[in-house]
Amino acid sequence: MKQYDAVVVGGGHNALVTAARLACEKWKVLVLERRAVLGGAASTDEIFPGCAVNVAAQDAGLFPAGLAADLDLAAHGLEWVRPPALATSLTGGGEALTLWRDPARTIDEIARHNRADAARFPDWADHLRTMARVLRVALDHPAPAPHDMTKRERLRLLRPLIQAGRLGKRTVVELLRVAPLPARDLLDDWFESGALKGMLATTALAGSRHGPSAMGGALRMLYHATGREPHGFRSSAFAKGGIGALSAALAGAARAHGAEVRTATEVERILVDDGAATGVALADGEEIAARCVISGADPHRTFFRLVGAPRLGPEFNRKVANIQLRGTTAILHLLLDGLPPLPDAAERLAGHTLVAPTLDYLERAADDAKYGRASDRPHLDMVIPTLHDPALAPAGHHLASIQIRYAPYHLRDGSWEDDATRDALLATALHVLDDFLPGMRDRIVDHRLLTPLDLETELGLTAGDEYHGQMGLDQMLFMRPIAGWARYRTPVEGLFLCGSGCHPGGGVTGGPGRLAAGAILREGKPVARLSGRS
Amino acid sequence: MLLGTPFHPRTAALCGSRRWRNWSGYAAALSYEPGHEYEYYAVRSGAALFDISPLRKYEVTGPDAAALVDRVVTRSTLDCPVGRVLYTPWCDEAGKLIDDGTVQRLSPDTFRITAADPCLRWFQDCALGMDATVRDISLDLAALALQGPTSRDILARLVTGADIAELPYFALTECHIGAAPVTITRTGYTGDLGYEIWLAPEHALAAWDALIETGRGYGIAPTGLDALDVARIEAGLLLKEVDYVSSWTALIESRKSSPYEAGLGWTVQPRPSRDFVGQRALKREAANPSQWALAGVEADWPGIEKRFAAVGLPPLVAGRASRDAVPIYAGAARKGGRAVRQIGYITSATFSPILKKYIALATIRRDFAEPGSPIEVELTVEFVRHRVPARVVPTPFFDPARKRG
Amino acid sequence: MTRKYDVIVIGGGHNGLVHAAYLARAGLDVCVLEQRPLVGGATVTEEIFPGFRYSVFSYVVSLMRPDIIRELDLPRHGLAILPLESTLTPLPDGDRLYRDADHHRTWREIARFSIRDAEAYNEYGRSLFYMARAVKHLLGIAPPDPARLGPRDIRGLLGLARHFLDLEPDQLHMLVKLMTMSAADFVDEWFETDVLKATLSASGIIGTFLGPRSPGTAYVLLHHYMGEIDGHFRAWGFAKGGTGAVANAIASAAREAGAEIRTDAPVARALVKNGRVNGVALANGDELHASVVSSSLDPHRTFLDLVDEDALPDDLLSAVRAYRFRGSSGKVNLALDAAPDFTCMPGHGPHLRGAVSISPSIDYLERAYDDARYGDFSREPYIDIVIPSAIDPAMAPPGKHVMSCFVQYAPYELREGTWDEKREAFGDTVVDTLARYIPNIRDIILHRQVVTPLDIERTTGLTQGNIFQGELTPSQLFFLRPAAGYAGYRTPVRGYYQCGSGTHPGGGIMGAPGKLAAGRVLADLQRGLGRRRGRISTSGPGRRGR
Repeated sequence: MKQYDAVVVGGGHNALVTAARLACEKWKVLVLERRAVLGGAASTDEIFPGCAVNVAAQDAGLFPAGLAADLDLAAHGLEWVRPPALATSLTGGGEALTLWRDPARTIDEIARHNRADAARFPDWADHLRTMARVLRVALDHPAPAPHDMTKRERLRLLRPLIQAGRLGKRTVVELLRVAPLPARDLLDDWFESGALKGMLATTALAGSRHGPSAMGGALRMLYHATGREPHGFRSSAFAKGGIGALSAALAGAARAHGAEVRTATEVERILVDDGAATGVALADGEEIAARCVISGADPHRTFFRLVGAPRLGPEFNRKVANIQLRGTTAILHLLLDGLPPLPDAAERLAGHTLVAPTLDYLERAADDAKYGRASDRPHLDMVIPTLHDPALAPAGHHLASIQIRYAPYHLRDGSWEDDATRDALLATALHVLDDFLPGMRDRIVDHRLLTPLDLETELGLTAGDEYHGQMGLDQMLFMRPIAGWARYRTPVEGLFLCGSGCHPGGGVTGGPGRLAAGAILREGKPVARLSGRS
Repeated sequence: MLLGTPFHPRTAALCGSRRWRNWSGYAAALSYEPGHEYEYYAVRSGAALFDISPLRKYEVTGPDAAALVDRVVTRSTLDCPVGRVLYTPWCDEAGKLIDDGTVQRLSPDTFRITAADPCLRWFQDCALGMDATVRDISLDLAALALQGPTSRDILARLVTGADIAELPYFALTECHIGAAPVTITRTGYTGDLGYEIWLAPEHALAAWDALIETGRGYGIAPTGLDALDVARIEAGLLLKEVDYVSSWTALIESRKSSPYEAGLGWTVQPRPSRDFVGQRALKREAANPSQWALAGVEADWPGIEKRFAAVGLPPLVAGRASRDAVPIYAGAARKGGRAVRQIGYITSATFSPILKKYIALATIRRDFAEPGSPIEVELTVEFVRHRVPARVVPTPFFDPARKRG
Repeated sequence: MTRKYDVIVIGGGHNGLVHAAYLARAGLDVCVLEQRPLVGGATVTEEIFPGFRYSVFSYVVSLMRPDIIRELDLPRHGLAILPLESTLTPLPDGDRLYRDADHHRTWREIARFSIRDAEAYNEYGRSLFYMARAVKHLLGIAPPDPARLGPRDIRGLLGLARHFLDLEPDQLHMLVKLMTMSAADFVDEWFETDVLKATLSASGIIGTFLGPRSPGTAYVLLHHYMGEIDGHFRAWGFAKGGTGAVANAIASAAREAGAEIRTDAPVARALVKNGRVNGVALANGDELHASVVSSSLDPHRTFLDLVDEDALPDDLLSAVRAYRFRGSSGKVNLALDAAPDFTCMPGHGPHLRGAVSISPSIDYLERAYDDARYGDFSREPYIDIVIPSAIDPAMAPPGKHVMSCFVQYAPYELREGTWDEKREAFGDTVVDTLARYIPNIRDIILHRQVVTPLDIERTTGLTQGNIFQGELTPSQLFFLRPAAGYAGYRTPVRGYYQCGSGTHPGGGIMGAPGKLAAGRVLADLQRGLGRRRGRISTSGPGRRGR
């Protein structure tokens, strides 16, 4: 039987990053992906005939250029598209507010709504970017896990500390003050315009079930701003050919270094013997031996489904069970036969198009989720990728992918399995879309709704949480995924995690995959490690 | 407010001493008469009847019941035959004691576990991912212990549906006392021949009455916790929160004990491929033993008498078992012949009426735990602290052949 | 007339008084200026209705530092804290959750709902004990400034790092969770019974403008749990004679040590010359002089009202403007003709001597918060009830009772109307809510005092009626309270100090800010002024004492 150095469970983008990095170091790596396409939540699939639809994630603005260069992803077909519009907020009555990549144009645009806000905006952007730079230092390094580190690892902590200190001690303290703030408090301190505040607050919502008044929102705003965009807004970039092209390029890089990548191969179980991982068992019964197993699945799925709770200690299991996995997003894919009649639609709608007219609107949408209901008036985040990449759909057609928030996985009444519940959500989303983008509805040729339950069954995201765990203050840094296990190791010897459930967290960042690979490499070549053990 | 057990109508009427203790929120008689000596001798020469209903009882059922029990406790239970009872502790992931009790295998898929304190949440959490159900049946099951040399004869006369005389040590049988269906286990907390009887609360009073009635000719005596405490120390049996502190209640790490440290190393039975909770930590400890151990201690009685005689008193040691920690010393003799180092502490101590010795259970440094090691224990006479000679002895202190025979 | 003091303390609330008492005991000539005719601020007992004594604002003592009680010898000055041992949560269906000091009864009571929860409750209590012990350390130290990194700050930070790294890993992790999670999520990790979760999380929302599901509320839960009485952890209590008795005892101790306390003496502003304080001007135009002025008022008043903005740096001003008050609670004080009769526990009983929490479910509390978030008082509010007369008979005529209802949420800023218009409607809502659980309540009310956040602000001067002088959220704690770089009790104006709940460690009848600030003042004086005045003792009886 063939013996691998590492079997990577799942072909999501983080798993592929880990696989590529290990392959670069001459590890014999096998990646196993359940679906026919690679990428997991960052995949592109033919949802409508002849169309390349980004199944869940649309935007890879947080994927670091350095990592792409290291793995030479351009050579494997990755090409970035950055449309001039970052995001356009629909404020009702055919009105829109656009954040352009061009700062001057953005300030002009804001000034049309509120001159005072426009005047403050450059300072705001500076403020956020300065803090995001400090945060970035923390996210670029393994989490400081005070009790979970060797002496050498502790010394290594000094580097980010010094780096952060160089960015200004006051900034570090300011980050400590600001990070826990609710988006609302932070925005209220700066701006007056409801439209602007609503729009900026949306970056605080991704990865959380909470509304703009919840603490920790500012941290998520900063998290999404770590991609070095000019406005301290969500970093945005699209892969040509769909986000699946990024995953394909990662797989290409891995293969180029000798990794094997198998799709349509479901791992049923991680094999554990005497507390150590020995390989995986596939759904078809095949067993694959490996010196270590690396799971890109979320921690809940990894421990409870792939390893099995009885193989782990009850105290550890309690911690896994307490990881907050709370999907609150549904995704609606539309095939359109034209664009909605908004002035400059082709330009303004090329980035993210948002329904987030005021903070209160977002707040009320989140309120519904608190009581286990889908929002009456949801917040929408739409991307029309065909505007920057027409080849994704047949000529004369457009694709639109809309994130509908909030659609909580855990419904108090009804179930996502009921057609009535799904239909109601669809109707609500289309109704809101029609209010804010009149005429859009008439352009719909076909649609496909993915509820949080669909995200779970199709993409393997427990509770439909596309971040593999809420991005709250309590699940960041050394608390992610589980306090005491923030350094990619697990209680099962030779089993590692590399998915979004790990530090630094979710989104198409490659961060967990990169840091996990670093941690695994530091543990040493598996052969040496094994002989050391026996 | 203390509750009464299902036997309370009888025990309350009998408890002339009005001495009660809070046992898990229930009123439990310390002794029925003002002193406990008669009751103690019932344990050793007749039959003592204890109301042990306040114990926590759990039922584990389902296809994975055996696997679950095996995962929870330190002793291997997978191959425990139906009809057997095991005494075992259970540990947390760090291999520290949580609680101890008996595991009864009622059928291939049904176990009953007794515990001193509530453990439902723990057992259920251990069952995550397993096809087994854990229920708290504490209120569904009243319990009595009948302990002493004549206990077998009493039950043999009373019980129908089973041959009690043939019931081996640590075995169980389902049978009847009168109309009441009962489970009888040959177990106990006295180190003597004895049985424990488990039954539905509605049959409690009838069973009590039948036992008292039949036992009258066999020296049966309703017995309280004071006598039990003396007997269990003689038997070398541990009491949770006294001889060891549960890892759930120990506020600091150093208060916790592993089974090895509590003299329960014999219950740690590593399984080859599966883990029980705490196994990995205990494996590490077995390879690198703790410096603490449990030991039996026997104080030098003439030494005690001498200390008291020096102030003109007879040896005034408490008649009841003591749960106060008492320092133990040992070490190189120096000028003046004094031991210099505290090497542990007594956790339970009593004057053994049958052995006529002052005996104690103690936690001491492993170097001194070998039987025969000379040590000194602290003794306070007329408000002055002294040290009297003592030695480490094996437990049980009292171990009659009838216990197993 | 003018008179020169060593120290003038603005505000005679409990922190101002503690501050004054410590300074007076150190031999300084101290004057406390209180705007109202009585001392105490929000810590007062008033006979609003003849024969009935209301603890008008704050109503229980849980956080008062035992070291202050000992050092100021407060029991000799009349302080007696009586235990408050039980919590009753009545349910709309006539059931209830009753927890008291009888461990096993509480176990059985919770086990009625869930045996797992009854077991988890013990573990939860132990865990919070660890947490309180870990955080307690912070209550006794002045916060270092991580941005300044002077020798004292570095020492402080290293000490803190060591303190927290010495914790067991699980304890450190739980502490982080407490600092960051919502109270509801935190208790969700332990329990499944809604009423238990709601009642436990309720202490996480007190005094905040946050709901039980808002991240950050778990810390407030701990803050309330840290209460100590005479060294006993988490014992809540009543001050005999109402909370005003606490202030009176401290005032008496301060006076004995030689402090002068002037009531009816509102301060208009602090006098600042060349970046240095030299006294205060009273509202009546009098000027009093001192080289040290300590403000126990909240940061808003301390920096924006009492001092010219020119005297303060921009970063402080903008930080104080961004500092959140958001008063969210009101009080309804009732004089009762008889004891309230609860549906769930009829008649007299020990439950009347404890707290009663109207918090039947997490959703109930969350909905109450939702109302407030959109600018209304809660239609069905969270109410924390105590009946002081059931423990201390002196609070009401024989057989009659006073009932104190702390009500949340009552947002300071209403979307429609004013609090003057809505005061009685608010009171009616509270009584209606009570009547659901206490059927006889309407028949026995002799008098009702409704205290809105606006009334709290008007009477006590607490900005926006926030009882903690600012929310206890992570952005406003420790070295960020009240503002980064200004958390060490000093201000940019030389000689001008802050000593109220708006400084570390925050609100509640705790006294720690006043004491810690006094330590700062004395240390500074010993270095500077000390040379001129001779030695200043930091302990011992006052100059004119005894």
